[in-house]
Amino acid sequence: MAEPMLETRALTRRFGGLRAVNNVSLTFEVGVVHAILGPNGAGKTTVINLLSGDLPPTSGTIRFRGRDITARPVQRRVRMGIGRSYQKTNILPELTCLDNCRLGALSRLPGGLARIRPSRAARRQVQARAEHALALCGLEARADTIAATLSHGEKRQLEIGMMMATEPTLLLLDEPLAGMGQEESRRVTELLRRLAADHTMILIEHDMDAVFAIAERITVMVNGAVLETGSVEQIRASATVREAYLGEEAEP
Amino acid sequence: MMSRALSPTVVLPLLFVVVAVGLALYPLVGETFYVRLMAKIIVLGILAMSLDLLVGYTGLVSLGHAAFSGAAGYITATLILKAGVTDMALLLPASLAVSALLALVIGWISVRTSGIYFIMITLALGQMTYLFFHDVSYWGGTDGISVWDKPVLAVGGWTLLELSDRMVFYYTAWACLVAVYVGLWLLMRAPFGQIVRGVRINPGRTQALGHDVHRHQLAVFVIAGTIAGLAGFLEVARSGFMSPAHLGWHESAMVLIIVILGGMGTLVGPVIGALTLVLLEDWVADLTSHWKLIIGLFVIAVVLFLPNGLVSLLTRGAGPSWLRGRRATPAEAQAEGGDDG
Ligand SMILES: Nc1ncnc2c1ncn2[C@@H]1O[C@H](COP(=O)(O)OP(=O)(O)OP(=O)(O)O)[C@@H](O)[C@H]1O
Ligand SMILES: [Mg+2]
Repeated sequence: MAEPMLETRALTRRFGGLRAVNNVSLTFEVGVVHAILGPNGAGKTTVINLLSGDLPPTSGTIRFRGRDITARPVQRRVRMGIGRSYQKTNILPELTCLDNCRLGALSRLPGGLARIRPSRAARRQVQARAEHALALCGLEARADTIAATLSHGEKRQLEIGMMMATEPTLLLLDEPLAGMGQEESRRVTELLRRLAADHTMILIEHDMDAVFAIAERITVMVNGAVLETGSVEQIRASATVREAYLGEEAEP
Repeated sequence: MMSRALSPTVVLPLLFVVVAVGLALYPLVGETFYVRLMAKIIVLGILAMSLDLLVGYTGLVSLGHAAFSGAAGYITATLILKAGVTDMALLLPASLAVSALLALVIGWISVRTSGIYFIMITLALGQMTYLFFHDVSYWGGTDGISVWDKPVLAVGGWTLLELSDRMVFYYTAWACLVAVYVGLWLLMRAPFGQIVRGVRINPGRTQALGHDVHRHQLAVFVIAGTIAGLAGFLEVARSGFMSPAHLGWHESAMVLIIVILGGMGTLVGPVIGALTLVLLEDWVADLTSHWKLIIGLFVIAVVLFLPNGLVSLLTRGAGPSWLRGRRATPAEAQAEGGDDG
């Protein structure tokens, strides 16, 4: 069997007495869109924070393409190809959209002198990456707009563009559609579907239409623990899941 | 919207050109006393620009910056006095190396903290440096060190620069001021500077875009400390004197006030701040014995009515808006859970 993209073993994170993530062992296969569902406070964002390195786990291990990355800092994971977007918009508001993306593109520049006197080719490459990421998230017309002045939906798009500028192979998406209007939602879902073609994704999303449209596997979490993992059909059919979480939401 | 001509990216470098040309021409017309004052302003301006790199560009408020200029100044003065070294080709690298090394140590400890803790730890480590030079009798105690010989730059029997000559010193310091400005301006436009800007605005997100925040902060800290070392070397070459007071927290706070007074994150602002404060001090001290009070009131007035510093008189409305805003702390950047689920 092919080596998985990402694998967690008995991953646990405590906040004081609360086990926000409790003994989670999951496998994320290459090229698959794997959604994580669960009610508010289930620990979904905390899982993403552990995978991205924003938070250290209390115990357990994380392997990325076979390598143990549990102790690696955020920036090293990004350069290995793990990109993330945030549930609560996390951009650089006083910069233009292009500069926001450029910051991500710069992470692909080698260290040292290249960061002080980059070659013309390197500068072109950074510029091209930033522009490509901006076009990808649908904001090319907003290149010179200060990010703070964007609409909420556009900020959410920029969030994805910034992540894409780092050229990740694994995307950690924490509620990319949060707070979006219907039209924006539809557009970004379409974008995610396109990205899914050549990226591995871990997707947290409350919008069931979007999840069922692009996810191939689904994990349901409740109270920090994994309730069930399976294909979309399995999860839709699961009585346990229906009872614990999906309820009427899952009915069309 | 602001007019394009008023964009700070155009106005600020232009302003520096005006200031630099003014400083270059001043000795041709000014009285000796004021030329000396201008030399003092140039050295202070270099020190303040180096602190601006930390405070204005990286968002690291240091209250121990005089430790680096002071340590470099002590090395220069001691090498001249005790070892009889006046060769600038030796004195300058030695003092820069000492300030860079000290900045590496203090920076390595300090960048692990942020906000008020960063201020406290740079203050504490700066005071430790102060006490080291104050208490170890080798360095001359409270009286400090006075030297009569000044650095000389000679290549193969040709004397290029004799800093004991006031005019030679003046234009050497002036050239350093211009070189530091141009160097830092270029550095901040380079990818390195763009990443540092990200670190200032949103360190958490900048890290999540693949950048080592601490390493960039440390690099800036060492660059700023080394340039402060240059100012310390020039100070000894200018005044022939170095004492513990040069590196105490009073001095650090004064430089910080100069940066804020002139305008953080502008490079030229700190030079204007140094110019304003030194000239004001000279003028007010002649008028009244309560001059410190008057200066204090002036600083407060500027901070209240021109929060972006004196340079914002020229770039008003076009000034970097972030100067008024508050940076998101890493804690805020991380606490993304739960409020729009
Ligand atoms: N930094 C933190 N400190 C303390 N408790 C935290 C922290 N982050 C999350 N928690 C707690 O951990 C639990 C899981 O939170 P998490 O944000 O992972 O949930 P979630 O599944 O993403 O919820 P939502 O759907 O609302 O985004 C919650 O009870 C939350 O209050
Ligand atoms: Mg969440």
